[in-house]
Amino acid sequence: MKRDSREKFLLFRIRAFRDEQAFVTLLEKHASSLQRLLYFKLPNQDDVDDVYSQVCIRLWQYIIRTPVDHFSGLAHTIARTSIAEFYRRREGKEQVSIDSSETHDQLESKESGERIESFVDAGIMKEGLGELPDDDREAVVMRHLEGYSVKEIAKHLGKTENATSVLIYRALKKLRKILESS
Amino acid sequence: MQDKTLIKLLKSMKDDSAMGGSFDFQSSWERVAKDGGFTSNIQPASYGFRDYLEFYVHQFTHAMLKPAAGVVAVFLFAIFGWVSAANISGSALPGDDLYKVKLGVERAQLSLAFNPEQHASLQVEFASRRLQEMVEVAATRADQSGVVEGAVERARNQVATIQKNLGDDSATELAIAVGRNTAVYESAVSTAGEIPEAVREEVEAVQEIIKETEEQAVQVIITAHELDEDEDAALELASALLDEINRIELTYGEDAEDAIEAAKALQAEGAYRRAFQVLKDFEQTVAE
Repeated sequence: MKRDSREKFLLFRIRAFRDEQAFVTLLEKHASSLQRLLYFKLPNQDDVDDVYSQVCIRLWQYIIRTPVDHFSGLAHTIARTSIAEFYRRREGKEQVSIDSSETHDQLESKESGERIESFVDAGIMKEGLGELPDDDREAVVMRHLEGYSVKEIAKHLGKTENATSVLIYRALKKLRKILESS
Repeated sequence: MQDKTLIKLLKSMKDDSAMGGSFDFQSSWERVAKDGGFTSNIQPASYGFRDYLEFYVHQFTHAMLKPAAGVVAVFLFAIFGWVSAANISGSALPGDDLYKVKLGVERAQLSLAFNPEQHASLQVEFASRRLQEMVEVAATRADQSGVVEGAVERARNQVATIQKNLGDDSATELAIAVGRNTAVYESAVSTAGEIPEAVREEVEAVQEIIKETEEQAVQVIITAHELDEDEDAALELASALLDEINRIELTYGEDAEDAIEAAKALQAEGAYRRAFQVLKDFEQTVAE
């Protein structure tokens, strides 16, 4: 069974039979990407875990009631909504910065002209990715961290494959510029 | 920095906790299961033939039957709309929005008539409708002179068409149909007193055409009877002669007794043409 058909089959199982096994199978495939989306947008791991749990429950409740064509697209849409809600709830309170002081120290200690591999660590990379527009970051993360195909990302973003390839290419250029100027 | 270097760097960091890596699905699911009331120790699913069959049947019904149902619904909606408009237009009068629909339906019925009998019956039926419309419009829309004139014109044309068709070789069916509707035509035009002065002459012309048409129809039936000794034609003639005798009797009373007796005697011999002629001659004599 093709990947798309398999996903449709599992979505059908969830909607028709409230099949938790099918839900887990689908979620397992996309959980990492979902977690990473939350990780880049939320202040700390506890918040990520809270919102992730909330997203999964909403996802389940939506799929058992409504026909869905694209699990990943729906999951990310619900995740973005949940992130917005998270910040609305925190409105008025001091927000915890996702930038650790350690990261800033690392950025400031970079010497001009030095090879990027030598000064960019995971913290700096996270900072750089955080400065990209949402679609750019999601496309880069899905392609190069999660290993999705361009076709899958295109479907997820609602763009053509060509447009998605161009978007990823430009996003990488932006990321490089951010990292080099930091 | 080349993009390839950056991509390589990104990939090397994918499991780094600072990049959101090192994600443990099983432990995250336990948290979700606890919050959402799911079973916590679920294993990835495995499915059998029956499960896939259910899925493909569902896909088929939704992919094929749903659009088909949509097409059928649109088709039914169009048919229902047309039938409704046709039904409503049945009572439409000249000047109404749906009157053209009514005429269109009639034209369609005429073109779909599959035998001369049905065609003749429809022509006669439509003529009586035009006459009734003429009277109704004259009574209710006298202020709309254009509408009344149009209705009278249509009635005249419709009857004139029948009269013209009675001249065809195969006009027997039409003549029979006209004979059967004589009473309806006479009833329709008998209310001509309500016709406005402006179109009175036109209406009288219509009455004249109707009378001529009825007489012509009788002649056509007589001819058919004489040529083929057609039983249907004989019955129609008997009925038409009886109507004529009754009319003469009511109009002239005992004075018409001899003429009626003569006509009945001729009918007994099957000489319908002469029987009608006797009654006609009597009326002309009285009139002079």
